[in-house]
Amino acid sequence: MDVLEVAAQEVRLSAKIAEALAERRPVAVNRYGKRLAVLLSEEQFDQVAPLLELLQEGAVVSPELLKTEDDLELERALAQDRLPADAEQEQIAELLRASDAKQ
Amino acid sequence: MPTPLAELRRGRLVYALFPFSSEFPAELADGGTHRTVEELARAHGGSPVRLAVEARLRPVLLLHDGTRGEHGDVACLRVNTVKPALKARADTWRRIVANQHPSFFRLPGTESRHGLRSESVIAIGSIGTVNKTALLGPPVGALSQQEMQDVNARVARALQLDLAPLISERALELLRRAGLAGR
Repeated sequence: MDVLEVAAQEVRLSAKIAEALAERRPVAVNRYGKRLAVLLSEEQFDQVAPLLELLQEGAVVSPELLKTEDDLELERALAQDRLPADAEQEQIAELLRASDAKQ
Repeated sequence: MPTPLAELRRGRLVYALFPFSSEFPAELADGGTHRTVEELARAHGGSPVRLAVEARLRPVLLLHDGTRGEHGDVACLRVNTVKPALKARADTWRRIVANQHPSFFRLPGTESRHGLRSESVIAIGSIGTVNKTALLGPPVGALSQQEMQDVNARVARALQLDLAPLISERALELLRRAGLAGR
C-alpha cells in the first residue's frame, strides 16, 4: 500500500491524541464539522491495511465485513421498528379517505 | 381500492402491508407454539403452516415494474421513518447523511417527489415481496432515475450480485456495434 510517511515533527499530536492512539482508539480529525481524516495506531492500521488494499484494487469484499457493530445493531432495530410515525398515520388516513371517495 | 397496475413502476414509493420476519419461538394461528424450526419440521414436515405473523402498513420502494396482472407479487425494499434514536448513533448517521452508508439510502422528507412527510431511510438489505392486493392506494412518490441507480448499485453490493458478466457482455455488444470487435 502506498502510504505517505512523514516525520512526527510534521504532525502535531497533542497529548490527548497520543493517549487515544495508545488506547487503540481511532482519532477523527474534523474541519468545519466534516470528517477530514482518521488517525489509527500502527497496530490498528496493520489490521485494516489488507482490507484497504482489497478495496483500492476494486476486489469484491463481503458487505458484512464493511459493517460496524453499530450498523448491524441499527439494521436489527429498524427491522423491528413496530411504531408507526405520526406522519405515516396521517398519510395512511389520507390514502383511505381518497380510496373511500373513489368508491 | 387496489393500486392501479399502471402505477406500479420501478422506483415508486407506495404504502404496503410489509411483514416482519418470522422467527422462533413461532406462534401458530390456532394459538399453539413451536419453539424451534426443528419442532415445526417434526410436526408439519413441508406442509404449509398457519402462523400468527406481524405486519404493518408502511412505505416501500418498488424494485421492478408490476404492471401486468398475471404476477401477484412485487419485490420491494422497506422504508423506515427516521426516529431520534437513529440519529443518536452519530457515526452511522453521519455516513447516512453523507450518502455513504452501504445499508441505508436517506430520503430527506423535504423532496416533494418522494411524497413522504418525514425524513426516512430505505433499508437496502430488507428485500421482501408484497402481494399487489396489499398495497394501499396509488404511489405517494418516486425516486429519480439517478437515485434509483444509486439504490441499484447498493442492492447489488449488499446481495453480492456478480454483474461483471452482464457488464462485459453489454460492453462487447457496444464495441461490436461500433465495429471495434469481431462477431
